[in-house]
Amino acid sequence: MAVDTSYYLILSAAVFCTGLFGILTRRNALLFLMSVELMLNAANINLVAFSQYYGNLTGQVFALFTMALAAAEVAVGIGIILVLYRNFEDVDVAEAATMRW
Amino acid sequence: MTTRPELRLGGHLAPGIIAVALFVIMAVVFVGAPLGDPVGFDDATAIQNETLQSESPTGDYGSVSANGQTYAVAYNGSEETANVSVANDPGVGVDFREVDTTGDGQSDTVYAISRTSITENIGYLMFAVDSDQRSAPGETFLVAFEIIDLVLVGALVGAVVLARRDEGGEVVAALGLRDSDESPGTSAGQVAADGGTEDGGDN
Repeated sequence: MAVDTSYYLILSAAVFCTGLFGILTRRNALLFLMSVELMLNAANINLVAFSQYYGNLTGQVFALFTMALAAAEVAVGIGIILVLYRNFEDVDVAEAATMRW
Repeated sequence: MTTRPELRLGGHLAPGIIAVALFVIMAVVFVGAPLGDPVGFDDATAIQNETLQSESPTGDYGSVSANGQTYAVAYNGSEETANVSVANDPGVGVDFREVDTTGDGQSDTVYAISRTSITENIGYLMFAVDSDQRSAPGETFLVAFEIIDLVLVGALVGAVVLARRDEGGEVVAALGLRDSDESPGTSAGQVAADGGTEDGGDN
């Protein structure tokens, strides 16, 4: 018995909106990064759900690539946050208003 | 007078409300979407071939193609299905599936499905391996795999570059060898990314 696709979509929307909520309401850069990851993973849920919906494996393979991309993004993101913390002694995204300081 | 927590209302709640409202809109759209039943990766019930029995060369084994996939026919009829075995085992992932071909609500045929696992299929698709074992449709991703490979290397280099520091006029990278004799003891030195200015950094 397969789960209906719309349930996957609702789960994905919930995860995406949780990420959006975090981005809109928080100022901590680490929480920002987590929220972006949530939004990326919501897209992954959609990819896998529609892969099952169409009986085509392309979505599942593509979801793996999205995960690799998310890993690369986190590596660079945490590096930036580390530099931010060294320079401002804080990870508040509102502190760093310029590209150079 | 005791104090109690109060909900602080105001305009600062607007972004959060926007996110919740977006979820409500999406949920309403998804519930009402005419999606239908998912196809899935196991369409053994799609076989509707009435002449399966005559296609079986050994009496209990044969193959039939339906919807682009090849299924091995292991057993037909209304006899016991507990001890069904495949004479010519096609390899990995043999699965027995009861199928209702006549449409009377009762399973009347048992197929042995030579089904490659989804994970194995993903491997074939990701590296563009043209294999007979591949059973599920999909596009190949070898070029994308190589591009992601380069992206990951770039991310690694980016992380290492961001992690370096300027310590006493000398750039100290995370991968660099560190001579303990020359370390002046300024553990919290200047940061390379701040341009080496005196007022920047965490000193």
